[in-house]
Amino acid sequence: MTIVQAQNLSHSYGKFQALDGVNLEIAQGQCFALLGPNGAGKTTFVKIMLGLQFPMSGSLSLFSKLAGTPSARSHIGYLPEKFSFYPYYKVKDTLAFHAAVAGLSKQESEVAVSEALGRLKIAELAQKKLSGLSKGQLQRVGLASLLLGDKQLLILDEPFSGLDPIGIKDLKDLLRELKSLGKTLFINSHILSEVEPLCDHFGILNKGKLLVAGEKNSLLKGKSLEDYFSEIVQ
Amino acid sequence: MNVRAFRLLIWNTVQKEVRSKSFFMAVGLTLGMLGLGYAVMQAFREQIQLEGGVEVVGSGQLIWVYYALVNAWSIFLGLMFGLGCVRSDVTSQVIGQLLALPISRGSYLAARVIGSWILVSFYQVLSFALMGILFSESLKEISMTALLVAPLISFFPTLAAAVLGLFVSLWVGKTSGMILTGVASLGGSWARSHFSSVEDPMANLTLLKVVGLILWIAIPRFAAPHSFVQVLAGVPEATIAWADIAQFGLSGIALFAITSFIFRRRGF
Repeated sequence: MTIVQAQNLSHSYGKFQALDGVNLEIAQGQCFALLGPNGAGKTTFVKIMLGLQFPMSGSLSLFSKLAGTPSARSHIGYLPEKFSFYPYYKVKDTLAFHAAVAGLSKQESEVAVSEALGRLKIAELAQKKLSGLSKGQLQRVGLASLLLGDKQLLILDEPFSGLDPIGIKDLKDLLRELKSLGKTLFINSHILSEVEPLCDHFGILNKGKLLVAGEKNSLLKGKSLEDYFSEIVQ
Repeated sequence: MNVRAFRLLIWNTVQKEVRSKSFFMAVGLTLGMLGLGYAVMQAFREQIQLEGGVEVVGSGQLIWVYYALVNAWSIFLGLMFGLGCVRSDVTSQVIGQLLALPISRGSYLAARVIGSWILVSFYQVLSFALMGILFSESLKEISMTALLVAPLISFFPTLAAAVLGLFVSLWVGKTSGMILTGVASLGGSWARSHFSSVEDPMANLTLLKVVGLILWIAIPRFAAPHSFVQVLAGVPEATIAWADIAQFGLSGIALFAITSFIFRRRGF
């Protein structure tokens, strides 16, 4: 089943062409990494997926629904590079808010929040305000929010940024676990070394154009992702 | 979006303001402003009595001046909270995360407006309670129906003010927005007095006249619903301003619809 389908997707900011005729398909259960140098158009692609930007031409659908509609977003979890919510909210309340929006009842929410806190090893932070958390702790709260409700597509924007080595390991373990549960992962990153062992598919975006996209092993043919990336982008 | 999430989003709007200093600042300003207003009115009244020796301004008349002051202040607060309710999410960059959730942009805007309205209603209740204390004697002269209806009627203009504030906040910040809406409201009342006295408002159109006409049509006439209260209270020669009430309702709805239309097409 195709989860993400972009057809001739283009977007520009004034004269700057952020996306130029991108065609991409991501199937259910894939772990897909969108790679590219800064300014390649990765964030714009993610924003269109989330309905935060609208394409100027072409289309993007999620679960066969037009991206940007609330129904298309109902099965999406999104973790931005820097998770930020109202600083005066406690961790537990932040997650309860996300659980409510995900459609969980009050009772379901309490169970799901407590489970998510446990899985991210942040149960002791439950009563702490977001303003008192480090960047790594905030990212864990953001990750915990992804576990609430029935999210089938998880979009992670630079997820390794700001995490310490233990945090990175925990995140990788969690993502592997989510993948084994059949979740589709979409990772937007420029840290190739972290993404390579995790993802089974990737695409390289440069100057708005999708240069390549496909299954990792068939594209790399024994090369490292770093070497392949430099070869393609240069 | 489910009802529980919508309620949480409304509560979140209230929390945002309560947590910021503006909430307590507005409580202080409301009490200070209305207390000062009362003191000035009493001093003015006493001055007239001293000079003329007769009571030309009774407390029964002063209560209407005070009522107008409470309503004008509430509209100011409505504009202020309307201007900030979405803008603060944009500046704190929380908006991207909120709108990435399965929340429709229309529901998000509605929750923000309702939340702001609830907040301003709190100040209004506070103001009317203060009015009850200051004018406890004069209130006995006013009919019970008018006393009950007056505060309820006052909630509608503040809702329209919050919507107007939200509309303006799509383009400008809080301070510029307050100045802009203040100028626009003055322009609107100037246009109203001008166009109601001319036979053909469309004759000899100049740029200024066109702007005046737009303001006349677009800015909700906040005072219109109060004509109900005046009639109920038996104010001499008071009539219900149906045309202005219709303009008030329609322009308020139109402003929210336009705001929602623009907001749904905006990128973040």
